[in-house]
Amino acid sequence: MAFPFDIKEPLDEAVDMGWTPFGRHIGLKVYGFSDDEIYTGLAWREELIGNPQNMSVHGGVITALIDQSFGAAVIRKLQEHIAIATIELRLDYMRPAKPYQDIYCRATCYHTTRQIAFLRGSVFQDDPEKPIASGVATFMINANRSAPPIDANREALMKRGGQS
Amino acid sequence: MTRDDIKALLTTMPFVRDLGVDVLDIHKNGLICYMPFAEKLIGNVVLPAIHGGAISTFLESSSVATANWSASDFGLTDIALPVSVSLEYLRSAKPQDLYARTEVVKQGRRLVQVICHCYQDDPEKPVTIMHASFIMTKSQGA
Repeated sequence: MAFPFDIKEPLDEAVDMGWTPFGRHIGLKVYGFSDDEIYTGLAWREELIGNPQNMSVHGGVITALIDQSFGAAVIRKLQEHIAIATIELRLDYMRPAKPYQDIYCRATCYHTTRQIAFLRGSVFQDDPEKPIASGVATFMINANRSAPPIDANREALMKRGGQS
Repeated sequence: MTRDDIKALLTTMPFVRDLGVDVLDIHKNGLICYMPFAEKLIGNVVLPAIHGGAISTFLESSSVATANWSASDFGLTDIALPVSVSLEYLRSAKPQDLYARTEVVKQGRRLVQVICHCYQDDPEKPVTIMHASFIMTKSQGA
């Protein structure tokens, strides 16, 4: 898998977003960053199919990808290991995901207040100009006392200016 | 469509089968669906809580089943194609089984709109609400 366009701050190697078991289950990865954007994706697998008639990946997989990417974009923007929670998420499916092609996401945290983060993002396959889905969401900042443990993968996400 | 028909439809979907989504009952305007808890569904290991994406997978599966159940009376037999979904996350979902009560808000000639309330112990305290719109089609010659 290679992210389908150049990234300003690529990671040496894609990092597993394995700090959530569900993210690990579907194989979410981070590819890199650019300012307030984060680039993520997952490899196509037959087990992720939701519609056997057009062989497209389940919409829930796309929602999970965009939701966790949004969460990572908030943490990246705030540079703090805090607890966050999705308040609302809206997703439009422009076209079914094509089979045998990996899926990528570009997520932007475009605004934050003391309590709320605002996000938008798109999901695409080979052509970033032809998204398969686009979404917006709001997140609660400091939602509870459950800031996740800092593991090496999450640490990589926090570093501004590429890898050390 | 009977409950067995809906169950059969869900088992054709690999990722739905993987998560064990099932139909428990049919009511006047929709379905009661179920997803068993599993460790792989966790999104927050500290709380712990089920991943928003796992909940949305469950609710979208339940809504697709509902749309197909509703549209089957109109001869629209292809699997419902999602257009938009909108999720409100109201409470964190505990590491327990999930239930969904779905309701067809509108059955049109091409579009079906569904609301889904997802709950755990108490149907009056939903953890998530989903609104979803689906395009319904019928294959040529089907």
